[in-house]
Amino acid sequence: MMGRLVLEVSDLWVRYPRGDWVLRGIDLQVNRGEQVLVIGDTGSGKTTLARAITGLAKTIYECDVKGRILLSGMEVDGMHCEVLSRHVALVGQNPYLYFIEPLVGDDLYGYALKVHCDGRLASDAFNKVVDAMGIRRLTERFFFEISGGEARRALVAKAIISNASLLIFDEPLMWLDDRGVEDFVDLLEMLRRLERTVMIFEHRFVPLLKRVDKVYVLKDGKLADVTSRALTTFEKLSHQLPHGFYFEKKTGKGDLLLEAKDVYFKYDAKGDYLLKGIDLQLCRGDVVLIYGLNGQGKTTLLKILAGYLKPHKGKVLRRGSVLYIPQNIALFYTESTIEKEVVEVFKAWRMKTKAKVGLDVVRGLNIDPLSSPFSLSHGQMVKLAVGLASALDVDVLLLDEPFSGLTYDDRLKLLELLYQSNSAVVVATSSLDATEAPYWTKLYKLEEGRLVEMRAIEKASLIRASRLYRELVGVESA
Amino acid sequence: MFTYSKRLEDYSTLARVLVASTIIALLMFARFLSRDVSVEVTKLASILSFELYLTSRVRERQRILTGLKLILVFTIIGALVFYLSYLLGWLAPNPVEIVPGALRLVTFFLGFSLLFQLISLREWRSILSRLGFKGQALAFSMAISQIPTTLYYLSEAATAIKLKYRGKRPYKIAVPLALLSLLTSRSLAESYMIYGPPAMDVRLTTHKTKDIYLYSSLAVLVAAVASIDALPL
Repeated sequence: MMGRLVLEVSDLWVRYPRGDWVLRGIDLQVNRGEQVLVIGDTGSGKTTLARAITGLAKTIYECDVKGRILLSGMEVDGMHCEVLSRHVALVGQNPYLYFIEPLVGDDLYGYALKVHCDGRLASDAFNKVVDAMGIRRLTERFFFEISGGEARRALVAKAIISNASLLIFDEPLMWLDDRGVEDFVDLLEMLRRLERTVMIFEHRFVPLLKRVDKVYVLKDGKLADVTSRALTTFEKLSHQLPHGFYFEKKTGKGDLLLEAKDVYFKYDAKGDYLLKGIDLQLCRGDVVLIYGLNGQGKTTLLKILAGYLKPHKGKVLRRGSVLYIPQNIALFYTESTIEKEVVEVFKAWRMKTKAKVGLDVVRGLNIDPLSSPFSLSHGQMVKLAVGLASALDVDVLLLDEPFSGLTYDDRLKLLELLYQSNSAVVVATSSLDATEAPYWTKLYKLEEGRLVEMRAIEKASLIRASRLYRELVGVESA
Repeated sequence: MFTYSKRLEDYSTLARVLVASTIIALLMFARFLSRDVSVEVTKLASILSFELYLTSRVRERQRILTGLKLILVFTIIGALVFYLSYLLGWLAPNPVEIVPGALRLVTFFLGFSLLFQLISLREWRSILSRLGFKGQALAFSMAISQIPTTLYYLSEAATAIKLKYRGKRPYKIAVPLALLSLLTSRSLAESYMIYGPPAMDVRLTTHKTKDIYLYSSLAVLVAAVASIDALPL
């Protein structure tokens, strides 16, 4: 069935109100059953392209859209959203936003009924999709109780109920742990068997590279086909650089700043302990990785170390200041400009006279202090928070999943920044592809409530992935 | 406490709506039309017993005990406020008012939670749509569906902002949360454009055999609350 055009984009230009052109003459053709991957820097226009194809750029964002987009031969411009939803389905970055009914099963069935307008047809479609996706057990659960990976799987089920000719995934791996990534790769195989046409916009592209039919780079508003180059470069780097590493334990450079002794914690008084007998020592200069799959209690542990949650048993001794950088980095910022942000923080830390140091750090990161922190990219927001921590001489810096949403290159740059920091740093992550040996002083795995030291990581490949990214996207070396 | 339980589906929608709204009406009656505090407390205690009985049909015992703990917590907070005001020479609340105050809070809390425990979001949407509020019903469902994730973000922001400002400016938490709400609204609009609202396949029932039990126990409660005024309290 390959060969029939599902998507045809010609000379597409898109810009947001009062903004510059983000997309500058995109040409793209996607055939039925093809799986296409689009990579590019943060802010390169990947999400804008997805919005243009789904018609959202004009209707929600009031963008200026020039050029032509055809879905199964029909012009997207002017297509009613009811009709459009039968041609294209979007699986966005945050899957939890796509459910209206609290129960997953009710939401999927409600959508099936809306699409098919008949109870029997809706039931058939619902059962077929639920079985194909293997989510029968999720249908009786509330959407806000399931993991990010499960929510995405349920959303894919919703997306294929309508038989849409094109499925668009915007950063599908963003919140997934390593197991979730494997699940997504399996999901792609299943969609291939169902002959679904798929477009994926993703930063963390290495696990998908060998699974897709075409790879494009979006840069300077233009799309370039790099399929063969991506595969040959990947093979070349696989031979040149090792995959995984053995770890030699190092120690921090200074005083003991934080100590957790035999910490136990549970949320439900009658439930099982989420954390059991956690022991952890942090010295100045330590850069500690805590790896664990979603739901293992990494965020909870960070909140206990931060002093926000109290352990049920055991104790945490803090001998210095602590800063917590949440996974959703936008929750860290409170002011209209970065300059105000710096002044307010330094005032709170009784270091008002040293605010200039903070502003110098901001400029050193090539960020305009007069811009809004909310206008920064995810990567810039994380780097700014780390920069502020370093200017404030924070003793202990806790980061929850700081790598999600970053390009491989930005991950490496962030790791280097953390490594140079004078604080004791703890990073919680659910993906090993963000790790690389030289930057960590201690590695732990959080599993079944226990913190276990790791000696080797088989999947670490950040330097290789970062080099591949640089070769494909053509960014400057870090 | 605000999630719907299917355990009460043996009763008709009408019976469940009537029970939930009658409880709210009785609470208002007890609060504003009682001749003195002792009468009000007796009425509230009767309503609370009925609320706990209904909750016990829907939830596990542990949750109910948690609900009861609330009375204790608010009584303690009230007592602390009283003693602090007394010590500082401020206008202290009447200590006799502390227990009824806690009772009022808990009965109203449980009463309003029953609106969501007894009636599902889909039923609410269907009822509101039939009353001609289709758009509002959808907006209501979309807003309610985001409450759990918003609560999670609240905890995240609280940790980050507390440490960032060394516990000095807790009100600043409002800024990222407000911004996040705006972004979430826009993303919800995106999802609405792509998928639209799910079709409503809700049968609103007016009568079921078991309704008689619900109506009779409700009648007993109404009679009890109404007759308390006549008691020599």
